[in-house]
Amino acid sequence: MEILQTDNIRKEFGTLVAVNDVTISVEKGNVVGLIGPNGAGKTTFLRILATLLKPTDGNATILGQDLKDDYLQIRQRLGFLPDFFNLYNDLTLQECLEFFAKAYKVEPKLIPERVDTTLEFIELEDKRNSFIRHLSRGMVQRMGVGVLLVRAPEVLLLDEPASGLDPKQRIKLREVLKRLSAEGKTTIISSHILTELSGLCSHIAIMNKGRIILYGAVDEIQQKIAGSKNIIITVLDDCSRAAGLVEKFPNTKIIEVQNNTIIAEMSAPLEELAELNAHLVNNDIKVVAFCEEKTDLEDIFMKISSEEQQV
Amino acid sequence: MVSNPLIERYRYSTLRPKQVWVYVTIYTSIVLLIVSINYSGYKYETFFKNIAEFYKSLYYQFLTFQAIILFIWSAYNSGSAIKEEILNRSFDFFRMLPLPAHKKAIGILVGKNLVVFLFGVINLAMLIYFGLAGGINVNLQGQIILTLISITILANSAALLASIDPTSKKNNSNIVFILLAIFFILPIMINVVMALSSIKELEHYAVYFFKIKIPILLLISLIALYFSCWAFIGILRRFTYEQESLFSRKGALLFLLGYIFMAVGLYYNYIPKEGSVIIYTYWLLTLLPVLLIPLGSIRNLDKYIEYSRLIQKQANSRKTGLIPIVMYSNPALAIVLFAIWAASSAGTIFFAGHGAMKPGANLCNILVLLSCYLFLVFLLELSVVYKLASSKIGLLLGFIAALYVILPLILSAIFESEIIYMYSPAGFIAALLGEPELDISVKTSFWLMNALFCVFPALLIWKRYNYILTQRQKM
Repeated sequence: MEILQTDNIRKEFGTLVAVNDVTISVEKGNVVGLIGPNGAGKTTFLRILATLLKPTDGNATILGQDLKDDYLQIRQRLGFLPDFFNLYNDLTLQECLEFFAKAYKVEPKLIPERVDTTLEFIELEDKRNSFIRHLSRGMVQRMGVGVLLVRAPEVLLLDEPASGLDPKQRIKLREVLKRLSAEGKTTIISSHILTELSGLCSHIAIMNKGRIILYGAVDEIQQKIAGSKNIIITVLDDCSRAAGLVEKFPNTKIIEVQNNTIIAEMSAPLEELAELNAHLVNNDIKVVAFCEEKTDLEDIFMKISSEEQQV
Repeated sequence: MVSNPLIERYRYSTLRPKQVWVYVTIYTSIVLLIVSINYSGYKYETFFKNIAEFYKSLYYQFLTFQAIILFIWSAYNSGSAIKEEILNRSFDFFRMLPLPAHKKAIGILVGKNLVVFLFGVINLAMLIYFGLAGGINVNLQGQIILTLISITILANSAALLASIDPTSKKNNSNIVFILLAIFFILPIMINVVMALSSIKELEHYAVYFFKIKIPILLLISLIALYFSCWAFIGILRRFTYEQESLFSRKGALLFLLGYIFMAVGLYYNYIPKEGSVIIYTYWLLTLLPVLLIPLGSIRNLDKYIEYSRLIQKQANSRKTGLIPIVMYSNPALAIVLFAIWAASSAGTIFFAGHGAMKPGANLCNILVLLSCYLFLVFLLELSVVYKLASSKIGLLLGFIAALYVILPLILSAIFESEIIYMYSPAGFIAALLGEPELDISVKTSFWLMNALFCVFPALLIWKRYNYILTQRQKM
């Protein structure tokens, strides 16, 4: 089920085209990592979807509502966490969550329970009556996620949620985000720190110079980009014989042989991968490990970026 | 209003007992101080002839106190709400609230002032009591309260409007608004303060609005409410779309028409009797919004570029002429505003209809004023369309505008000339008010000078409009 659909969204600032005719669709439960270098247009794109910026052209449908005409309804059902924000310093955590719950029309009798579960979720129960001004940056960031969760939005837009956090706080926030993605919330997370998104996203959209240059499920993209896979084979002994067998196997090329490990490139379906393993075993090679080297987001991004530059 | 979550949000922060008791202490101290000083003056000195005078004195002092609470304290609160959100970086959350713009505005205006209104109500109760005990007429008291309320609404909505500038990272207010406030709101404030100082006469003082005699305080309240409505519309526009101008095109025209209607209503009864000078004061009064509205409804370069995309799209990407962009431009609106003003000004001359008023000469005056106006509007437009070329262009053009207005006055003083000062728009208007029958040769040469001044900016603007269309085709 399509939750978000953009149709040639464009945003210009003077002669600068910040978002250039972007068309994507996001399905229910997808967690989309929006990656791209600084100035790629990620923040502008998210702010348009969050109804904070009016697009110069194009339109979008979010949860079946028109971005331009039904912006109040969209705001009701969508949560946006800006890249650099603060919350109301003169409120306590409980007051702040209550305020947002009321503003987003959460049923009054549900509010106390929602506040409790949210504080528990973001691991700030013990700070319930503290003023927001007394929280650390990482806590404020988690509280930012909290003010979205307390009203249970159907779509989440998170703009660089971990920016400005130290590694420890970053790990904590990542845990919160992982739990969110496990809950099946439709989410778009932007970041230029790729490791931040690895393992979190089901889909990725790579953005550069205002355009989405690649968009799809992580696996599909890995496959598409890799074309061939790298296989890492570790044997107990007789490495040179094993390397010879691998080399002779169809569609396979040795990349590196080091100690008892062979790294080979294979452009063949998964069945042939299994056949190679069986072939080695049948030839009395004691295979200790046989695995596919995973392409991570960083590799994908670097590959796409270099291809873009060449173009 | 009660279910407005923003009011509740401010209730959390402003009505915290730890904070409220500080305000209560200050307020109680001031009240006790005023009452005790007056009471000792009554009891031990001969400040007051009788108890009624004592109460009347208390009434005046509490009225001033009430004005300070409502006009200054509450306006400060309203004006700081959005600034605080912007500086605190919580403004995006505020903007994302799924509340209609009017609910947000009311939420701030009421919520941020919960403490002020609490003391305002207590103060009002005392005010009414002192007024009744001091023998102040109930009708007059009612008018005073109405004036206080309407000016409070105006001051608060104007302060809130001025503070909505998401691009500003400084804790100051919008310069356009300050200019508008100086010309429109300040005179009303001054009127109210003056009215308070001569309260006895107020009861009997009334003015004509067309043929209707209206008590002055009621008229002030109505005028304040008129400006409040427009300030509120501006707030709604800015809460709905970021960086919107105060007026839409339609709004600018309606505001001017409403303003002219009020001015005509006020002058209607006096023009035939008073003759030419009063007409020129009418001209001046109605010319001010014509000068200032273009500032409040400015379309920036981004809007031009956006619009050029639209017109090219409509023309199926064929090269379009400059006419649509000229029609869309800021000078186009300014010219329409001037035309409305000119029509109403010419109307007053024909309406006055006595021999001393020569329609031909006055139409000539209007043409001279148009030439001054166009030059200033062109300078403003240059600053808009060349903003990308230089961020300081506004400063340079502002300097040129100031020079245009002031230099002839300075030269006139240096050379002790009675002619040179008329080559400034300010000098020309002053001359018009002092001596309406100006020499035609002065008018013609001033008009020619302005026409020459307009040529270069007009060419630059034309070039820039072309550049916008060319840029659009490259994008």
